[in-house]
Amino acid sequence: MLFMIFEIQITEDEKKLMERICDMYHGTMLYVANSILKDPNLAEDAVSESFVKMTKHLKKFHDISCHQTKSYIVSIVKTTSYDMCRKMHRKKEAPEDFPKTTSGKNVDILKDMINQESYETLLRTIMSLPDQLKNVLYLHTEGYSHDEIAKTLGISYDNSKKRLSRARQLAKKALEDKKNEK
Amino acid sequence: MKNKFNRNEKLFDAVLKVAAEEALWNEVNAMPSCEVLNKMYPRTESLDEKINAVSKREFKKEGRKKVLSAFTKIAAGFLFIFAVSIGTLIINSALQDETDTGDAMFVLGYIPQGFSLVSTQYTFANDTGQNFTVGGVYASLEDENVSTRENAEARQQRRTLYIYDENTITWQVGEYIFAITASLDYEILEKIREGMSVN
Repeated sequence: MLFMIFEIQITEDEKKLMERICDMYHGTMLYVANSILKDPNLAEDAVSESFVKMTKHLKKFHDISCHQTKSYIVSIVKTTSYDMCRKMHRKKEAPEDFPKTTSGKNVDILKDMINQESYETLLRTIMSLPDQLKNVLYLHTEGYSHDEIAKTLGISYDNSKKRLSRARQLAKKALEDKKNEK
Repeated sequence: MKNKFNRNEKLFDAVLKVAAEEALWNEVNAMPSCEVLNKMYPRTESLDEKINAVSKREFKKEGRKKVLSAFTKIAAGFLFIFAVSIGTLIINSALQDETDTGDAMFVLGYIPQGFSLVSTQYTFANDTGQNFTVGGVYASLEDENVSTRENAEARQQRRTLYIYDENTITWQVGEYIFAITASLDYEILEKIREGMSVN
């Protein structure tokens, strides 16, 4: 029944792949969407939208049970859910109050990066980033180009680059602040 | 100094990548397992229907885009062909011989210097205001009211010259009657006439 519409667009193998992904991750996707939207019906809407986005990158799914696939799916569902949330509450996009780029010329962070404590700081900073920035960073880390990230998350190419840049700036700032504390 | 800065930036990006991968791993691992979540949130018909509905909408959107794209390409193709055709016609018109009488039943072999076609009625004129008009009809004309002067050469060619007045020469070629009306000397009219033939 599922993917009758896909019959025209995708191959038999891709159809089976989508069916397996749906079987394996429908619970995870609904869990993530529900935790953001707090509504089962809206969560289903978010999951269905996410599914359609995923069909555009089926070739990237080599092993659907691997951690990378799960991470990718979680990122897409989170972004789709936040988009729906924003549209419902008519919130603006991420505020432009992120710190400006530190030039880094006077900061030798190389030495600090090797330090375990600083690495932990970096890790915590990444995990506490706003989801809009975090998801772009995650997808970029997974090897997706800005063009692919933009299409997947429903944002512009420039926005994808900007968000990645902001994530990077915040991570750097956290390291600088840590260094200044000492 | 610049090289060191670039190196540091690249190393920072590398560490950031490692940290981002680990952060994502931690986040996903913090969630319950797929099996547990699949039991908590069982797959429903409602979810399948919604996925189908969204897919159908996306498919229609993609289909519309493809159709629009195809139409645009076809329209662009037609436009190109149309533009080339118009361009060819314009160029042909510009290059067309000024003495070309087109679909007329006659062909002019001689046009006095300085004269060019100025109307669809086969009137030729020059810059000084002199003009002549050439015409032809398909008919056997025997006008008894016209005075006839046979020309020896014309007789040899089985043509008869009819002269109405000083400004017109009319003659017959087979079943065609031709006439030249002009404010020109007779000799020039004669030259034009001699250069004319049936198309």
